[in-house]
Amino acid sequence: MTTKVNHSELSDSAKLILAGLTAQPQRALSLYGVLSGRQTASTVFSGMEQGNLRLYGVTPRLSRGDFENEVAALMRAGLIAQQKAGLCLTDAGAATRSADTTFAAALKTFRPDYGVQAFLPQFYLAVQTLSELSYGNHRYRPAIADLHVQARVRWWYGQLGQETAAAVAELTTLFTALDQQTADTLAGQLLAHGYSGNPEASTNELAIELAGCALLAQMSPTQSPHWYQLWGGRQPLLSQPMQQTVSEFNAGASIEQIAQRRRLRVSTVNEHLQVAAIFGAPLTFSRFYPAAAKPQLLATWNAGQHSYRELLDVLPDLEFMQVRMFQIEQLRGMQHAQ
Amino acid sequence: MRSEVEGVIEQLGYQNLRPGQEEIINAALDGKDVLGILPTGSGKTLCFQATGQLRAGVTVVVEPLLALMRDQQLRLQASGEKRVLAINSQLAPSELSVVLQNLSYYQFIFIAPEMLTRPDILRALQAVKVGLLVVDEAHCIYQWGPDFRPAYLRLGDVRQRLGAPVMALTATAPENVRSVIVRQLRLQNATIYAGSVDRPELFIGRESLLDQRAVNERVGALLAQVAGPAIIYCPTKKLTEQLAQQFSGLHGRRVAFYHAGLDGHTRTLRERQFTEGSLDTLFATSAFGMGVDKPDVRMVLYLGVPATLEEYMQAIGRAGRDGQPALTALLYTAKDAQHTAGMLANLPSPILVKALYRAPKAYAGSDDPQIQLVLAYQQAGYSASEVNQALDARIGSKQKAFSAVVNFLQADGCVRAELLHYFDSPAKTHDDFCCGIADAGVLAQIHSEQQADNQGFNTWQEVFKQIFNVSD
Ligand SMILES: [Zn+2]
Repeated sequence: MTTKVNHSELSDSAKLILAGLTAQPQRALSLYGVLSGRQTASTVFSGMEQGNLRLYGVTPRLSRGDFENEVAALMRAGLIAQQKAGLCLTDAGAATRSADTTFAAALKTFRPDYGVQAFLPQFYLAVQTLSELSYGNHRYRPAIADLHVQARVRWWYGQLGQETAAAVAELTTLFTALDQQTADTLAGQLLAHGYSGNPEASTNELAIELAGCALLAQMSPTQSPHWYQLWGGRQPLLSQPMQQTVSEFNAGASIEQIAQRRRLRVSTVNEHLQVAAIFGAPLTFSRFYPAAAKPQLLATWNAGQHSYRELLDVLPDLEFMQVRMFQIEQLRGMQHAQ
Repeated sequence: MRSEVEGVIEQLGYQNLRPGQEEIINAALDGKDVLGILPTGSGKTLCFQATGQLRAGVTVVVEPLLALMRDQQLRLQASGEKRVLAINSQLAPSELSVVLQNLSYYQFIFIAPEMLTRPDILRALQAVKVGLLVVDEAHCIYQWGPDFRPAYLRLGDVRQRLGAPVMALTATAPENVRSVIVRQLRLQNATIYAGSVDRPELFIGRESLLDQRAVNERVGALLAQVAGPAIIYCPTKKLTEQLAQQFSGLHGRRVAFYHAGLDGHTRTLRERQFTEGSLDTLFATSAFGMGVDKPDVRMVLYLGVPATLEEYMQAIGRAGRDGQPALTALLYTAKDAQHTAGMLANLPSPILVKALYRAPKAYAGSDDPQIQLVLAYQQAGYSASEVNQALDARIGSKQKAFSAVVNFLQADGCVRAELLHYFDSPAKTHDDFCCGIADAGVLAQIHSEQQADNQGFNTWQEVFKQIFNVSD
């Protein structure tokens, strides 16, 4: 039994679950991993297959329990269904989702590599610093207690030097470029001289995050150099150790050599390279599987057989990593073509 | 008051000292060990902030909770003191080693007890001059208390090695706990200041109600009858949200909810909005209150049954800090009492203990008290099986603490006297503004100043004008 559900009445987590799913099933745990930004190869590969990596890490604080409760509620409402291979969107779910164009448009501003969750606390503290300075005040309770955020803003402020008026002007220009509601939402979160936010402003976490994305989308190193510097531009999605693995691999080291040198397990290095490949790192894919296997793998792929199982059936001697890297290479090519 | 003390408290933003503060500060300035028992809201913090500013050397403050540490740090920063450091599990090892080499730069070092007992940190502290060792929440030393932290037991040893006088502070310490603190911290000829825990300006309400619906109705009635800032403590996050929605806009009240599920910045915003008056009614879990110093809270309602009277005192102690009459009330149902009793045995399971021991780093930043407790044992050198044993023993101590709550719920006579009896503190004589059920006569005695209007900056353009000091 299903009743008609209005999309705007769903919780944000429920909306994000709907946004992430398609008619093609995805394992619940993988979807959860994508939405909350878990950096495991199986999660991000699943996101790549499913085409929902654009939502990678959109809700990092979502708990497993809350996710499961939302999934159960969406199933009861008939908007998603559980199949053997995972969760998928039902026709009713697709209809409900597409009726809410406002949400879809807002969600489009999200980019995993904006690093918006890390940026916002820096932004709040930087604005507070500028604001107190506008009143010549050096004694105030910092809006953000986090040491790293404080250190970053202190560094930024040092770089700013005498340019504080320019930074205020830049920020005004950036806000002018936003639509009124988005700009008001962000302004409502500020803590500054004689102002501690607007209790009437949206307190919706996702709305604030997306407003932050809209702000970041406006930033450019030439038009808003000071704020761009605070942000630091698009953030690498790969962890530091992953980036190091990529650069060692590209410098010619084999997987085994990297593992030995850094005292990592081979499986860890494999994991690093898979995640890196999925997130678009420049890698020479032909180094991952024997050249002789490629024609047969390609033929199978082009015949529409894309799963690991199907590919392995054709070439049973290949190892998991070899097949997986071929898959990633093909999926990357398809995305590129789009 | 000593003139140097006067100068420093003014710099910290205060006009005068409250009872007890002067005795404690003077004893510490004379280099004596001191144990101060000051009720919640009577300014424990000012005691060591003022002393720390005046004594030569670094002031090391032992704080058991991350949130307390963060709050103290921010307060000192707000008063213009930038040489403040917090050493806790959130500091990365590389940052810690840098910091340890520069300890003498700092005036105040807040530290988790488990960190203070680490040999490398202790060595670094021994190398600089420590002028004062402050042990905040000193009752955590009491093994049979609900807040016991194993690392506190080793602070006696630490104080000896640092060779600094000790200022031990707590809001609640019955006599047996006081003697444990003195012994464990090896206090010498200590000055003990035990202020009365009683707060005569607070009405100690206690109302048993039929069901949750009756509780909610009573909340609505009290919100309508008592003007001024109010905190309503709720047992669950969900209830805070539900009641905030239900009572939004009631009698012009500006309502919000507050719990640990909100992100840190939103929590900070709501704390400030409540403190400054653009919000006046908060439905909150116990996550709210630390570091919120609002003098004019006129009503604190506590829904459900607390596990300890310490916890309860802490919550209701947030009312009436300006010394003006305020209402506090425990509103509960029989089901609530059963629920809390059932939660007593709810301690970290051996499975959680095992997981934490396998990957302690993965849990280091957690605010979950259960996780923090296990980490505390781990950092104090307990093995996993010793932790499980210690946790079993805690069930007994929690039950003992809860039986005091039950006595409070069942007391026939003066409810206030029963509450204070637990803290070995005298209570004022029962009168018509004392305890029990708050009737119209009681409520009529609670007055609130007219609240400030909303700041009225609604658009970002107005906000920018204000915050960047732009004149027309
Ligand atoms: Zn009484």
